[in-house]
Amino acid sequence: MRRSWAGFEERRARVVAVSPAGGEATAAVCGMLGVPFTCLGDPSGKAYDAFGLGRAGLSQMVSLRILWQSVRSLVRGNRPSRPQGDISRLPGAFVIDRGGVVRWARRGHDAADHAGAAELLVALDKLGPPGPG
Amino acid sequence: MSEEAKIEAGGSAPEAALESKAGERVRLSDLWGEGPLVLVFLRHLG
Repeated sequence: MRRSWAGFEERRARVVAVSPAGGEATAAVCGMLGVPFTCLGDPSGKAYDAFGLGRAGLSQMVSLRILWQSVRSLVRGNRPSRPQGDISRLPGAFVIDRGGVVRWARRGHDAADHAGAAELLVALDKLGPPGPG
Repeated sequence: MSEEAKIEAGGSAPEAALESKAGERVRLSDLWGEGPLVLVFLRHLG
């Protein structure tokens, strides 16, 4: 996402990352990582629930694919800190237009099933050209 | 799982509140009102 930031800016999209931890802890980790987008917390899990993002079972949290993603992340230089918030939440991503209509949705099938920046940018392109601003 | 909402493309986004760094409530509708919103839910923090 960080490497594709210019693409989101060109499309005048606002990117918000949500974690199951509190707002302060979420902002602290985002600040440490230097991410350019807004980071907010959902400690009650109500937003996760509202978007249909449930909790992972054991097989959705521990698998070779998830291990491989963790190794790749480490190789890229990411150093995980102690997880905070509900660690069983499944990831997901949504593109919402200015009218509050969900235009693209993806729910992770397991803990490693994240939407990529490329597919998010394609979803934004389908909204049409960005308005003035 | 049965109580989870099924939000699909084409439907209205649910209203929900998130928490800012200062502990303030941030309504989702305030976020998408400014332009297209990409909302990414992380599996955990850290």
